[in-house]
Amino acid sequence: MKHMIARHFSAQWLKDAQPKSKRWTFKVIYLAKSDYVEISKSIKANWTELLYILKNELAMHQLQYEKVLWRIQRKPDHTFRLQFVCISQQALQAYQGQFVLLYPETWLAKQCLQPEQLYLIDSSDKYWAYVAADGTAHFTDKKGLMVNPEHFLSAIGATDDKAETSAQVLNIKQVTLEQPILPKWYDWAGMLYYRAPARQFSVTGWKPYLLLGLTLSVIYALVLSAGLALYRDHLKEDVAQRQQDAEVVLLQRQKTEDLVALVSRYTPLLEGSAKYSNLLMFLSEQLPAGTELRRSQLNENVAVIQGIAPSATEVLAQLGKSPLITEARFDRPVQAERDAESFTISFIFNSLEVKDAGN
Amino acid sequence: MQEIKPWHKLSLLVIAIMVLLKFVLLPWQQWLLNNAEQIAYYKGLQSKLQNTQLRADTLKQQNEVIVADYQQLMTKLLPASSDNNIDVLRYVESKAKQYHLKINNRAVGDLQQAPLPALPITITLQGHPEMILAYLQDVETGTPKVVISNMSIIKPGLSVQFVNMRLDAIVLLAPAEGETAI
Repeated sequence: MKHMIARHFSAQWLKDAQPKSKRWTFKVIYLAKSDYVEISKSIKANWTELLYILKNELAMHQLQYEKVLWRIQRKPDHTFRLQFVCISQQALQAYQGQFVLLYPETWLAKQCLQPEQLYLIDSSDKYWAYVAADGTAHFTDKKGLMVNPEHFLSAIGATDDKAETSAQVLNIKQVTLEQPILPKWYDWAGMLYYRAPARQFSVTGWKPYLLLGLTLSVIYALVLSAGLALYRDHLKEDVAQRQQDAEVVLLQRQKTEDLVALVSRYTPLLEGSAKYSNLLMFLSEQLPAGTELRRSQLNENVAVIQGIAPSATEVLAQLGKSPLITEARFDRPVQAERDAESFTISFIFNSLEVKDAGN
Repeated sequence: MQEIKPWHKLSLLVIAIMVLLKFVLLPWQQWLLNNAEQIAYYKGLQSKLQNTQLRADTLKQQNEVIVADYQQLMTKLLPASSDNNIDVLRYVESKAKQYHLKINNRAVGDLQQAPLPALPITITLQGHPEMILAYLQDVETGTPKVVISNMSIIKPGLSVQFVNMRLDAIVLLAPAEGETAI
């Protein structure tokens, strides 16, 4: 076991810089008592509540410190003791970029102490250490009133008549140098530490960045130029096609307009159908009995009829009744001829206009 | 050989940058601007011509209607040819024969182009009044289209049973080839 620890683990104190080993080893860093602040809490709770409390406590301490180590101890009275060790950023700056196991001195010391035995820990500072029968460890700096061990024992509620004489001196550094001491495996989770190394921009290595920037710029320019040219050509072709279509449409429109003009020139003549035969039909139906036409003439809308009838006035009156005829009048004086009258009547024949108005 | 000093390098760099600006970047920028202008121009044209297809469809429908009208019109017109005079005479003669009318006089004038292509015709007929009326109806409503401009009917005597009718008319001709191409 000792051989395995020596082969795969290397231990050192935080402020004792050691050259890097060629062989990879997992580092255990011992923290001197002056490098951290230790906080303990006794809690009566179940495991779920305990984890929730642990999470909150860690979050609270991490607001002020770079790293907070923790461990849980179960006491005989079925309560838990939460121990936190808060470490500042400056203390750990040298260990960025590697996984290490941080082991506080007081936790380390407790592992080496016998219960109910007073110890004087000889480290960077000298302090008293005493582990009670229930496993609770007490540490106090050997300063002021606490120079006398009786005061220390009295303060923690322990009594030892031969305290000063029986106090054992423990050089903790010496112990660790002889043999690396590892924390209990179940405490590792709260003692691991890793921090990614801070990236620093080096102004000396600008050439690769310059080359990269230039390359990216050239690629961007080429892609932009090619894209623009392709888009322009596509638009040009599309517009040319549309212009061609528009010309065809324009030509077709011109042809349509020509046709419309042509058809509209013929239409009035085509619609004025059967006007002359209509006049003859009209006269044969409307003139009074005994009327005989000798001459009928229609030029455009102006009609002139000449004939004999028993009463020329009746003929004119009959014509005047018709809505197809306007401005009917005698063109010449009516002349008596045997037992009849000779007449010449002119009028305007509006057969088409009346027919259209009726529609 | 003289050693290249840092300020030499800086000068060369400045010259290189200026050459790059003058001969590469500025012409490229100008080319980009020209392209952007062309694209804006083509896009403007494209949006103007956007409705061409729609207009073409509408026009096609209108054209179909007007072509149908035109073809209907053509069925009523005498196709223009060098034998139009003879065709017109044959037509009026055949109609007169159909209604047992006697043609006393007939004359076809010179081809007129304005306002429409047409042949003027003057014809004098003699026959029973009812046949005259039937003939007139047939000619006015038949094909080719005859447009009468003047009509005169005279009964030569009190005791006679026939009348003389003189017609001045034009026979409408189809427009010449090329005047209207469908």
